[in-house]
Amino acid sequence: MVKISYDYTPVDLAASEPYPQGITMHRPLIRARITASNGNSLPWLVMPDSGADACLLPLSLAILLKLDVLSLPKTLTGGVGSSANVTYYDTVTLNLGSGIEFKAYVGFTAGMENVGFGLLGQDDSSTNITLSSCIGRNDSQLKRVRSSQKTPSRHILVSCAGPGARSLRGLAHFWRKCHGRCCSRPSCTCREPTSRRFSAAARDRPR
Amino acid sequence: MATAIVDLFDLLEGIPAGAWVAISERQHSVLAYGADAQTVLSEAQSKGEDQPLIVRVPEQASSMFF
Repeated sequence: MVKISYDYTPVDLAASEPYPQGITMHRPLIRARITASNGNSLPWLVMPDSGADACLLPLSLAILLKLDVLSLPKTLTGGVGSSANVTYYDTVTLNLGSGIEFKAYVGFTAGMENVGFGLLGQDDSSTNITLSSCIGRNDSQLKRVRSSQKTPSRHILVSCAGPGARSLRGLAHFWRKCHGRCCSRPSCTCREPTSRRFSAAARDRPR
Repeated sequence: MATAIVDLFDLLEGIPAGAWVAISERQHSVLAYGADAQTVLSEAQSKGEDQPLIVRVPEQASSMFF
């Protein structure tokens, strides 16, 4: 199992009755490149949602990818505030950057239109890849962040096992060589904070 | 390396709620926005950006997501 760290993205929400001062939420949005079965691809924002039964994307993306939606297998999906959404499925390639690329059987539904981004839920078993997430390295870290009221340094760990993990292992080796001292070498594209976090994650990983 | 997307939200300032937006990641700028994603993509491509990042401005600025 290989893990990669992603920063959470702060999103300012406007004032509302329960939050009269407004509130800043933190969402683990990841830029992904999504390639449909027909070969067309586009970059898109996705958010890991380890509790979701499957990966879901807005129906608009299927249209932009020029998928023949009506010919795709379909079923009904639902979530908070919506139900019985017709969802069309296609096998797409998801590239999350950092060498993470895998195929997944994902749904396209109008139920995701209002948010625009996609959800990375549990993957189907046919690709032999699992995608899971957790908040921070551990819960206690998150609690400390909350209690300090400082700018959160939350991040998400995306775990990947299966064929996609091979390239990750090479990347992990690269990160470990940085040892948190993000270098000035021209070939190094990492940032110091992420490098430190990843070094810690690599250190904690069972060998 | 995870792609930093924090700055994208600054780009969305002033764009109507619910709009689809095409963003050039190279130029770090908004290429087009509108109510229809297909139109927005076409407009961005006509400006020379074949692979813009398409995002949607939330319809309710105070909405939490569950």
